[in-house]
This record gives sequence, C-alpha cells and structure tokens, in this order.
Amino acid sequence: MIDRVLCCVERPLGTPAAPTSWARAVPLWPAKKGRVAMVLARVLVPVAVLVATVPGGVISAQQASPGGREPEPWFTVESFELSNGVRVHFVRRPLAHSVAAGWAVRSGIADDPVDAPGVAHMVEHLLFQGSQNVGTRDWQREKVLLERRDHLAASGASVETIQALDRQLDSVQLPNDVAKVTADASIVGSGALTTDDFSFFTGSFPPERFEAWLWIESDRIRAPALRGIEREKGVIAEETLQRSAAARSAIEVEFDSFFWGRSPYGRAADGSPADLARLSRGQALDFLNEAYSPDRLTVAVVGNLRVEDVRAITERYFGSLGSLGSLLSRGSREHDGTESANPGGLSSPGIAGGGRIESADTKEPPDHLFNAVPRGGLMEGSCDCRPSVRIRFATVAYHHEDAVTFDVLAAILNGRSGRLYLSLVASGDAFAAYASHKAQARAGSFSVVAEAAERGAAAPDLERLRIGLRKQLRDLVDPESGLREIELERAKNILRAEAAREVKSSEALRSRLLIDDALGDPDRLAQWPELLQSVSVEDVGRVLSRWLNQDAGVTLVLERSRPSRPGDAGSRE
Amino acid sequence: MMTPLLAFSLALLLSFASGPAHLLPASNARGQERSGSLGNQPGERDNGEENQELPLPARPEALLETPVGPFQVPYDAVHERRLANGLVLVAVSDPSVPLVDVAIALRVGARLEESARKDGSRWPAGVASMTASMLSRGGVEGVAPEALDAQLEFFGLRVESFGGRHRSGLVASGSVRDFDRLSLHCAQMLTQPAFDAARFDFYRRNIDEGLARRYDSGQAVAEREWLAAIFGRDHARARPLTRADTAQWSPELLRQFHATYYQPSETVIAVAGGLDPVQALDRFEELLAGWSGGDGDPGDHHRPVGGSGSAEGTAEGTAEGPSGPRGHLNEIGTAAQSEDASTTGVLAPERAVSQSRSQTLSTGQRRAEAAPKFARFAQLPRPLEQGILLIGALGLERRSWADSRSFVAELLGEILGGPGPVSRLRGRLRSREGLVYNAWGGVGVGSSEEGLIEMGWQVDPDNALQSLRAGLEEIERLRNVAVRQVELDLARKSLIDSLPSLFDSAEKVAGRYAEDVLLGRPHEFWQNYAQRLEAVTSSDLERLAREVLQPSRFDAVWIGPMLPEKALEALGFRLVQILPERDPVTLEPVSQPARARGQ
Repeated sequence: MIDRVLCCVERPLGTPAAPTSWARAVPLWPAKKGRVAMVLARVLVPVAVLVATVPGGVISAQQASPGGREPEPWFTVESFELSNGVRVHFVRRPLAHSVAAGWAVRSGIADDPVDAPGVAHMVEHLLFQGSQNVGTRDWQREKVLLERRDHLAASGASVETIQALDRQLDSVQLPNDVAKVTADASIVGSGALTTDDFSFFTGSFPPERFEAWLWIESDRIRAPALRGIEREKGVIAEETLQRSAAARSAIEVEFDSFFWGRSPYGRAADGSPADLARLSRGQALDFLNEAYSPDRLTVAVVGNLRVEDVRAITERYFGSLGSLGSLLSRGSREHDGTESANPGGLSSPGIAGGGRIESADTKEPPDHLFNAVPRGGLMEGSCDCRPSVRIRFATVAYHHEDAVTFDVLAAILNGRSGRLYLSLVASGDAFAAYASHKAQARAGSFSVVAEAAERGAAAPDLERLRIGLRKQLRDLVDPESGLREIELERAKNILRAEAAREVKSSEALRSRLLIDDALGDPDRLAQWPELLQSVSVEDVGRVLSRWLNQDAGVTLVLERSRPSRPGDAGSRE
Repeated sequence: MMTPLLAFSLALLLSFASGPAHLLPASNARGQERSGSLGNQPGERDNGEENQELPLPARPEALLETPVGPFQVPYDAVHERRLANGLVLVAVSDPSVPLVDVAIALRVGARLEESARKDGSRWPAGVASMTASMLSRGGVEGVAPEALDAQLEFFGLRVESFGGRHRSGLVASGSVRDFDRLSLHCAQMLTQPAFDAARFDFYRRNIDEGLARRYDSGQAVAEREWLAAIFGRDHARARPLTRADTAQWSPELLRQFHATYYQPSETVIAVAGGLDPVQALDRFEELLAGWSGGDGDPGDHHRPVGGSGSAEGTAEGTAEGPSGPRGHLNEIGTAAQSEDASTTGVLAPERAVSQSRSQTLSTGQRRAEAAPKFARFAQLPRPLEQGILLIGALGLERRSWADSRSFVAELLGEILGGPGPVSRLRGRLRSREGLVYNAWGGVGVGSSEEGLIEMGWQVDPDNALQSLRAGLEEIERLRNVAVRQVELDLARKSLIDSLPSLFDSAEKVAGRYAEDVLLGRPHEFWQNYAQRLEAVTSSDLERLAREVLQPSRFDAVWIGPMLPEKALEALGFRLVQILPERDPVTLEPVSQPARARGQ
C-alpha cells in the first residue's frame, strides 16, 4: 500500500530530532485536575442530556473527564543512537512470546530523483531479492553477469542475447535461498512498505533469533545485490494496477496530483509505466547509495528482550553500517550509461510556503477523468462509486505543533455523536460523512467528505453536501454554534483510547514507532497524552481560521458514472 | 473447568521478567566467521574500524545454534467460569495494558435461517446478520440509540456487533477504568436490545442502497460468481441477498430471532486487559447470571466435537471454525468480524443465506452426483486493466479435531499458496515469472460443512492465459510429483513458527481459549499442533493432493477482458461459459452473453 501526501520540508530529512539517548514512561491519562472543574461547569447540561438516561450512567465529576484521573502507566520507550547515527527505539514486553521488529529509511517516493520516478519503491522490492551473501552460488560471477546484463539492456541488445545471459544468471542464482534463510530463522510476517516519506521492513521472530534477524536485515543494505529488476518491474506494474482497482482510486490519484501540483507529493507512486520500464539497476544503486545512509535509518524492536542486548547486538549489525562502497555502483553506471541527475526530493522539495498549495494549475489533469477544473480549486469527475464531495485543505507537517489539533478536530467531527453525522447523515442527506487529517513529513492535508445518500445524486444534491460540509467547519468558530468544551473532551477521550488500541499489539507498536520517527516526531507516542491535553477550544478555532477558512480548500465532486453497471439505469427505489 | 490461577499468572509474569537467558550478547557471536575484511567486498558498505574488529558471520545459519524452545500455549493464565445458565466466562490479565477488551460470541448465525420458525414459516434471509448488527446500533431497552452512542463516544468506548454464517456477537474495548460501564453496555446490548425502529429503517435503507452497488467491485463479483459456480446459484452459501429478503425484515422480526436463539448456553465471553481477572468474571456474572435467553433449538450441527488433537479421532465433525494458524485464527471477535466483513454483515449483506442444503452426503458423494463432467471456465467480460481469476473446488469436512487429514490439508495449502515462504503459486507467478503482485491458495477444511479449495490472483489480461497455465501446472505438479522433504520441512516450520503469534497478547490468549469453547475444540489441540504437523509425510501430501486437486473438479471464474475460448479449451477447460452481467438489485441477467475474444 502506498500512502499519498506531500510537500514542503520544514526540517531537513535526517536531522536528528531527539537527544542521543532517552527513556520515557508514558502515562495514558495525564493528571490535569485543574482543568476538570472548569470543563465540568461548562458541560454540565450537555453531559446530563447525553448520559443521564443511561442506566447506571449518572456521571460523576471524577468520571466526566479522564483528564481528571490519576496517571496510568502505559509502557516505556527506550531510545538511543548507534555509533553511526542509526536511531533505535525499544519497548520491552515481558509477556510477548515473539519479538516484533523493523527498520525504516527516511526516504520515500517523494525523494525519487526527477529522472527516476518509482525508484524508491523499486529499491524496496529489490532488497527482498537477496544480497551478495544470500540468494547466490557465486557472487563474484553473478556480479559480472549482472553488470554485463545492465550494459546489454542499456545498449539495446537483442532479446535473445539478454535471454541467453539470463539463463547464465539462473544457473548462479538461488531464488529459494531467501525464503530458506528467513524460515530457518523462524521469521514470520516478513514484509515491507513504501510511502511518500519512507520505506520500512518488518518481521516477527522468537527472542532467540534477534541476532539472526539483525543479520538478515542489515545484510540487505550491507551487501546489496539488486538482482531481478526486470522481473520486479512486472510485479510492481501489477501491484500498481491492483492498488488502483478500487473504483475511485484512479481519480483520487489525479486529485492528489491536482492538489499538490508539482511538488514531490504530487507524483504518481511508481511513475508512469514508461518510467517504470526505463528504471535501471544503476539508478537503483544510486538511490540506495544516497538514501539509505545510516543517519536516515531507524530500528524499532518490541518484545521480551533486555535493553542491553538490544543496544549491543543492534550496534554490531546496524551500527557497523557505513556508506555504501562505490565499486558496484560506479561499475554499473559505467556499464548502463545512466546516472541520476538529481536525487531531488532529498534536498529540494518542489513546494515552498509552509504547506500551502503553490498553484492549482501546475499540473493539468487528463480530460477523461473529469469534466472541468476551474482554477478556483474544484475538480469534478465520475466513477463507479457512491457520489461524494471531498474538500481538502493543505495543513501542517507531522511534527508541527498544530498537527495534534487537527487530529482533535477530526475526532470532534467524526462518530455517531459527532457534528458531521448529526448534521448530514442523521438528516438523511448523506450516507456517510467524516473528516481525516493526514500529516506526513513535509506537510499535511485535512479532508472533510460526504457521500450522498442517493446513488443517483445529481449536481444540486452534491452542492448541498458541499455547502453542508463548509457550514460545519464555519459553525465551529461561530459564537452561537461554536465548539463546546464537552465536545473537546469527547474528542480527546476518543483519541486517547484509539492510541491505546493502536499500540496494544507488538506489531502495531513497532510500526507506530517507526512511522513516528520517519515522519519527524519520534517522541509523538510518548508525548501523546500531554499533547492531547494541551489542545484548547481556542487552538481549534485558530487552526480553523488559519488553515480551513472559507477561502481555502480544493474540492473534488464525484458523480456516479453513467451508464455503468446494470441496475443503474433504474432510479433509487 | 479450569480453576482460576491468579498466582500462576503472577508466576508467569515473573518468569519473563529476566528475559531469555540464552540470548547471547554480540561479543559471543557463534559460528562461521566472515572471511576477509568487510571493506574488501565490492559493493559492501565501508564499515567503521571499531566494528571490523568483530567480523560478522558469513551466513545467518551460524546464528541459529541456540535452539528455540518448544512453544508452551499460555492457557495457564486463563481464568474460566461456567455459570448455572450455561454461559462461559473467560478472562486473562495483562497489567501492562491500560485497556480492557471484551469479546462476546454466540453460536448463532445465518445457518439458523434454514430452520423453521415456531409457526412453521421460514426466516427471511439475512435476518441473523441484521439482528446481530443492530445489537450495537439500535439502542437498548429504555435508552435511545442516540443517547447510547453519545455516552459510548464520550468515554472513548467502542462497541461493535457482527453476524456471520456461524457466529454472532459483540466486540468492545475501553479504558480499564471504564470497565463497569463497558460491561454494562455489553450486557444490555446482548440481552436487552431495543432494535429501535428509526435506526432499523436507516440501516435497512443503507443495505438496500448497498445492494445496488455490489457489482461495482470486480473482486466482489468474482467471489460471488465463483461461489455460484461451486455451489450453484441458489445454494445457501452462494445466493446473494435481495431486496425481496430485506423487505421481509422488521424490528419485530429481529426481536423474534433474538428471543429465539440468543441463549446463555450458546454464549462465550472473553475479557482481557489490565484488570483483575476474577473481578472481571464477577462483574459479568453479576450482570448475566439471571439471563435465561431464548428457547429456540440452535440445532445439532454446531455442537462441540471430540478429539484432543493427540490421536486419530472418529467422531463425526460438527463444529465449525478454523483449523490452524493459516486459518481464521484471530481472537473470536475479530475472526467473526472478518467473516462478517466478507459475507453477511450490514456493510456487506449480499452473501446472507437462506437456502437449506443437504447435510447427509460426504464431499465425495456430493461431487459424484453433482460434479460437471469436465472443469468449467466462466468469464464475465469487463474492460478491466487487471483481471481477477479465481480457481477452486469443494474442500474437506473435518471428521474431528484429531482428524489427521486436516493437518495434511493445512500443509498442502501452505505449499500450494499459503502466506509462508514456500508458496508455489507465489514462487512461480511472482518470483519466477513476474506476472502478478500476489497469488494465494489454500485447501480449506470446514467443520460443519465443507471448506473450499481456492486459489486466485489479479493479472494483466495479456498475461492471464500464461498465469492460468502456470497455476494449473502447479496443481498438476502437486498431484503428480512428490513434495521434496526440504519443501515439506519448510512449510511445516513456517506453520509451527506462526503459532506463537496466535497467543501473543492477553486478548489473543483469552480469545483463543474462548474460541476453543465455542467450537468444541479441545484446549490440547494447540499444544499438540506441532506434533500433528510433524507426523505428516510426503506420501500423505501426495495422497491428499491426488484426491482433492483433481482438475475435473475445479471451476474457474475470470472477470476481465474476454479470453479466447479455444485457448481455454487448449488448457483443459472443456466447458467455457460467458456469464451475463446481472442487475445488482434483482440479480436477473441484463445482458446477453457475448462471444469470447478471438471467436
């Protein structure tokens, strides 16, 4: 799965965001008793309405806000840096039978060089094809053959010639070795993911196999082989098609491009099919060399291990990684004649201006996906899906101080007792309505969405939904219908519980630690309760006024394709 | 009945406190050392001097000398209580978790729609799923759904209900401090659902609207058409829901269904999290000891089945459920939700079932009577950039939890297309030929009815025939060529290594134990699991492959641009069928079958 998002470096990638070593005890419910009385005074009547009718539901002052409760220990994150700058986060879980571990590189699709779109995703795939130590009978011979193949492919050699070389490669490669090594080490769930901002690699295993896991994972980048690129082009092409098989995916990709313009986040995940076909092994090696440097790497481990073991053994394998040697890379470039012009995304983002959209017309969407794209930020289209309206606003990066406020705002709007449901769904205008905030390393976006109740909804119906969504945002800062403290507390309670649910499995906690780090805020999880508690009604009003005002936002209006499927000809019963 | 063992739980906690003693520090690295300097190898990273003093092993096998101890299923941490009304309560504590999870599961599902009502009439299709779905959405006696929603969300509590073919229930979670409130809501939803009329109308409208969109997704169409090909279009396991079905629903009907089948003797509740397990059991006993439930006959085919998993059993299988780590082996809540999501839940109601089915014939007998003479390839032409291919047949029915064939089938499925490292389909179609992003397959073993043998992938239409040929060759190879020992060992190891992940949290332990109770699966099943897999031989695999992987039993469905009939016939499909598009509401054909491409 590929997440889309983008724009605007607010802190250069690779900049350490945390001290060399730190440990944090994380309480779930921070004690902020001073606020509770004030909150209760303002919410007394709404609370009574909400809960007094529930048997056993008479609410007490102490119950009304978890913020008034004693702190509840959660878990401790041990974080440290290895000698070469690799960051490590560890959570000990004494009851866990397996260790969930992973590592991430803080470079992703948005960091693709301009002349090699799709290379970040390709490198992630190639790192799963073995190494110089795994998957080969004779690396020195295979290396010669791989470089000869690179040269032949770049020089336009005949298919027959390349196929003959491939047969020689088949004789020296051991495709089953990767699976065998993984299985022998009792590693399960071995997988990887590439997003706009990072790639990560994960697995689970018994504690006794921690060192073997570290060997295998560090070996991917210690001694890369990058074999099988032509085969993986086919696999990635199928992966892209599979991802876009969802009815509205294609147009949403176009909306992303429309929204983000020429920024790195506006690129298609794997480039065009032609881009993919052009990718060379040399470009993959260059990207690996540039992007997978130790100061961009993070390891996360969750399980029943001792922190001193984690520190020592991780230092041995990941701490010993340096910059890639140059022989293989240079040789390949000499052979295939390609050289990446600029790993542009790494240091030169395409958008400036604090996360605001540079221009709505920086990339012309293709005509077949929509009817017209007025410069005012409206995109109309159709798909085999429920008619809907989406308004998307550019917001702040993950590590920005307002990022949590946007999360709180989404929780205020969501849920069956949230404002969007009560105003649009319960009234029968919408089938569903929701808000979401997606903050990534360089910028974020906040979306409000309403799906029409009627599958045959026409333009006037959708315009009503658009107006309704705008109204809900406007009402939050209206003196009469503005945000109430009880709504804020409700949102915080939901987000506290969601965070606890999210990290109760070791695998999810591992991934959360990697993602937080990769997006530039490794302390997010540790500080989450305090961050939530600090958000005020005024904060919500401020971000609404600044980022989600009536002049901001790009709108996507989707009508149902017609005629499409049988049965659509008939109107709703 | 297991006695509560709080002291043992504490001991378990303490036993983990010192970490694994056999995990050696880096300086004690074992095995073969890498020859030469790291920096001398072309393409390798230029490593720092400090670390070059400790050469790394050349291969990871050198690091595997420390044995991994046999996995001990942590059921000693389980507290179980059986109430006088038949309700079973299970609790597992994990003080490090600030949440409490509750899963309530009942042996109630769409299969009961095949039973007669008290007045002799039939239950409308989908009523079981709708009843279950409305438990958490329709309010409780004396409390409007809106007020209930507001209270739940204010405290960050989450309660969801689900209904599938065999199970229904609720899953809930919230702060440990709100356990009393959470447990109260769960108990009320289970025993006193209100089925609020306005909410009922709202969700039925949504379902009706969803019926009109169910042909939007090619994947959904492929699965529906494939089930129709396997079972027949009117079979209970294949017939989609229609508006004629939903029109028969009413809040009163849901109340009748609930009052008939929701019974404490059919219910298991699992509680896990950072709370005292005894207090958790006390709380649910306080809330539910007086619950008497309905008086309907839930039928015999869900009753627990014998066999400990340690020896060959002979009892006829009757319980339904998963067979191993590659099956539906999540905790009871999520397992049933998974079923719900893909079959009969409110959000995907189209697979609700209503038709009765023969219960008396074995798989072989049924096939002998109903099987087509030759394999069939059915295609529904759609202009997709990536087509969807599903191939399969009826699988096996478990005779008991000790049925050795179920372990053979699990290994056969793992080798055919499981998620582990030995999948032949993935190895061939992705790793070797680069034709697909993913390919999956499995040999299903059902407990109260046959499982399904299924394999499938999505592929560029230009590569569809090549991938189909490769997939069929892999089936033939499994039938005709003995599985090598190294491959069998890898598949077996992969399954055994996956076992700990099924018990990796208090929630999973409680859920798995409760699932045992629900399905009649002996608790010893998991402790004997590795041993049973170890007993499977290559000959066992070959025998089963020859029995169940017969091409003449396989049906295939393709959704995508039309494939040429002659090419399909050349692959061995003797019957090539063009499927019509169907009206998603009425399910009546609305287009004439077109000719295949190239015809």
